[in-house]
Amino acid sequence: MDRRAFLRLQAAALAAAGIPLPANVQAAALPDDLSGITWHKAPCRFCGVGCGMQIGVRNNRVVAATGDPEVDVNRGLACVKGYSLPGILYGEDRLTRPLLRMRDGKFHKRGTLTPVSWETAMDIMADKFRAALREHGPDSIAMFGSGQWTIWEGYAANKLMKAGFRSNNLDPNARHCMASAVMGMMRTFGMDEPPGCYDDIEHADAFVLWGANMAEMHPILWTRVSERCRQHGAKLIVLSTLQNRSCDMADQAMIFTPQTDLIILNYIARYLIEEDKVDHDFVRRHARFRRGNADIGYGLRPEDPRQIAATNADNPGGGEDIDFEAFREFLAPYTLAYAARESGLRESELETLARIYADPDTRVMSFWTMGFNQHTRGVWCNNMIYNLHLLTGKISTPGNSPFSLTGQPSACGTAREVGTFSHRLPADKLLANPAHRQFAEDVWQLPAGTLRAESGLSAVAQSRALKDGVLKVYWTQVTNNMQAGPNVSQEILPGWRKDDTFIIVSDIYPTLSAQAADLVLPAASWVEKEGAFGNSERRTQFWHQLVTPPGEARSDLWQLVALSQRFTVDEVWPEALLAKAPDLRGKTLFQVLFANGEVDKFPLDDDHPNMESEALGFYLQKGLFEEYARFGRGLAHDLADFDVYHRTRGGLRWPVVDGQETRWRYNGEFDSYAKRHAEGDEQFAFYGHKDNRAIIFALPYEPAPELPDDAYPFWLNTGRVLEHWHTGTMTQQVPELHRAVPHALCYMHPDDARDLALRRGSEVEIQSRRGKMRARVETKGRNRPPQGMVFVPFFDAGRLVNACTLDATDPISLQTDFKKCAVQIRPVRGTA
Amino acid sequence: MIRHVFLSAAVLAAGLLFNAPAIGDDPAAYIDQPTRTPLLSPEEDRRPARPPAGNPTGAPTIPHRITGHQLTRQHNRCLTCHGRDAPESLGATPMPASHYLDRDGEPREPLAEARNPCTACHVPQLRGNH
Repeated sequence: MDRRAFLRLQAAALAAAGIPLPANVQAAALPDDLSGITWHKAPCRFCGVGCGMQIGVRNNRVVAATGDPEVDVNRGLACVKGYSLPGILYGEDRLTRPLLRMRDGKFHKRGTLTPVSWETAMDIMADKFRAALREHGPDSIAMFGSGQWTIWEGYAANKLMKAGFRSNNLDPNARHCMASAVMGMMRTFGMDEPPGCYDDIEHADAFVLWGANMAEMHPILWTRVSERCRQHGAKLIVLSTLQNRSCDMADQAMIFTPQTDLIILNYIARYLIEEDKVDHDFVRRHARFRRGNADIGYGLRPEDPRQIAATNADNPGGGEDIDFEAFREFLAPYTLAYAARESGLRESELETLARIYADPDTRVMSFWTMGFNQHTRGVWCNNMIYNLHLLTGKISTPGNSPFSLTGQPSACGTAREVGTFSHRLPADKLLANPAHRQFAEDVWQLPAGTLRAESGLSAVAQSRALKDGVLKVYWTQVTNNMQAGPNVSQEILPGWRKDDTFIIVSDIYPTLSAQAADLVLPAASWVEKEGAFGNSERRTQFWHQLVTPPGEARSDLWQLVALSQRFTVDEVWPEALLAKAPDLRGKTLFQVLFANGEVDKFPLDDDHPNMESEALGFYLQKGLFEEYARFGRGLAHDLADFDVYHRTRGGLRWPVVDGQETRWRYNGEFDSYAKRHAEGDEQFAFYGHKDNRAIIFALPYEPAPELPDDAYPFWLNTGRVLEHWHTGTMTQQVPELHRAVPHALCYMHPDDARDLALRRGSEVEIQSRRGKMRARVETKGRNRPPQGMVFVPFFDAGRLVNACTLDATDPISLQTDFKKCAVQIRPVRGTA
Repeated sequence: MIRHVFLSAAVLAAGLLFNAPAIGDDPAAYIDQPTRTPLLSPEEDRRPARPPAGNPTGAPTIPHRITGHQLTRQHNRCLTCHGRDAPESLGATPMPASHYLDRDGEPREPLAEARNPCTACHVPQLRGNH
């Protein structure tokens, strides 16, 4: 250590004398800044990496945040968003009172958002729900939630909507984010969430990024990849449709034509077979083969010609069992020459990539996020990457890991594990499965038939149903779909502003969604409430309420409970159902769902009070969690006891069996369930399927639904930047983040700019068949698209790129493709 | 302050939905974008380094331009001035000791490899009152 560094460290040590200070705080910290701070654990509020943080609180205010050195995810590191956490709660325009759109002293759809009491807000909300249920039935209400919900918020919403109101129209914004990853895993493994974990990074010899810009979107995980590559010589290949920061750190960046990832994946599978690199022993013991239905459409409205033309639009997830030879024949067209021609990559690049998977001595970790998931063939991409790892047996062992990264802090913990999707129940259970419905009804002490089998409306379908008049009441929490959803002006806003719809938005700031709502409910955020998140590697992390929310803001959980108190089951359940449970007659939904003898059985924790429990007189979060955990315990989704997570910095990765977390699933050496299921002395058991086998899928290349043409000659690609979280609602409150990236730019190739007589900084109008926006051209920035593509981030409400995007989805996962549609670029005259 | 400016843009973007008229036949009108698109700003070369959000334990911002500075697998321009061997006469803030320790706490030179993506934590600031 040199003298200067030592002196700085010494200064920090002196500053810290006498107060409990995380060991790794920045040396620049001044004594005055840290006096009187108490430190607490909490996961970061932002991405799916799930960094453990130490949060500094003083005078009921979050004033500091630093990485927790005790948490393996990040070992003391934090990215600039993590360091910005103290700023996200305290913006000037924080919502502190409910707002109702009013004219002449009462609700009016065309009125002005006006402060009202919680009593008024909840009453009108209940009235609107009640009227819709009475006049149009449970399919006329819907809720859009979030991968940023805490676990118990998602669980409470699931119960209230699916069991209480008996509407399956509940979906999370995670539908926009990783539904394709969910369906990919369900199809291949029969179980959701990754086989491996982050520890794979420290064991891998090669990393392949397939449409994941980890350098910006998962920055702290990226530091681990960086260490593994630079310190241990691991290889890094980045596949992307544009040059980005991840490419800057790569051994090889491969920029391919959009949608041809399907061809590249099949080429590699073909290479493995034809070059005799398949681990036949592993495949024979642990895999089987299936051909998935092709020509499955694009999740567009049924009258769209592209839907009408698709032969399997009505059964996109179907298929038939095949054998190895049939799989081999299926792959025959995916030659090196074909792959190179279609993808735009050199043959030598493709062969280098294929050899990484082929070499039996190279441990490979594949990462992907939105490049695969936001893709009209996203489920296929997910299945096809598993093909490569299964064919080579490079799975479920340290360093061999197909790893789906998530975007949101609890996309896994809440959206997936709690099952807030419109077709799911907790712990991978399905509404369509009668045994699963019965299991849930038993846990919830509800009469048989309470739960309905049919899937509810997913994200995009909800917007369409609002516009079409099918949905009448719509409630969103912790999400901003008016900015983040696709095709905003044609398919989202019209439904919200119809005269006979009632839209409720719960948020902490006046987002575009809040501004378009009829009732705005001020929410509590993050450490203003007790919470739990689950990150990308199955890690569940808890935190206590550390500060009180401002004004009258209340948590989403409080809001859900408050609504449940305003209904009796007699109002919302049919007589036939009530007749099966006469003892429930006259009870409120609150009594039936939350004061049911299970959820309300734990006393308050006097050392760690939280507002919701104090109000109710029982430990609500603990009761919800322990009831929820019954869905997975003993069934390979085991969660530890509630109190363990509060005690454990960094939490635990499920399944947690006998107090031990599981790092590598399906491998008997690490996973007790695999050991239990494995036949004889087999090491592996893919026990999500009854035959213990994972499925290798034969799936073809099919083109994107909208391709650049003469009228709209550019691909439009959208996404995020490191400094901002999603729609910028929180991160734009932090001056240093805002000044780092104040506006969304139109990233473009310099030759394209030149051809359009544009320069860096020129103003352009970006126009699709659906809408338009304006932005400044950037030709030298962090994203460098190839010719024929522009990239625009979606964080900027003043430059609404989702006015242009197409609401096409993967037909299996129903997830939107935000990465590919066609636009034209026009200079705006009279500007520089 | 930042938010205030942002919000005025957002209100514009939302077509004054706070006081919502009928949606009419042209919903697109309600999300018309602002007519003025802010110019690209150059990076600030004067603003002093400070941690984000006043977080006393945060990583300081970059108080100078980094446009054109290479930050790749092969080359890290930041080390030229902030590394151990940088001449003191440059006056650049030296990296703290933590930046020389790897994930397992072992010393590394010329910096811990995990710390190579400097801009994950330290961000430059643009000029102007955004």
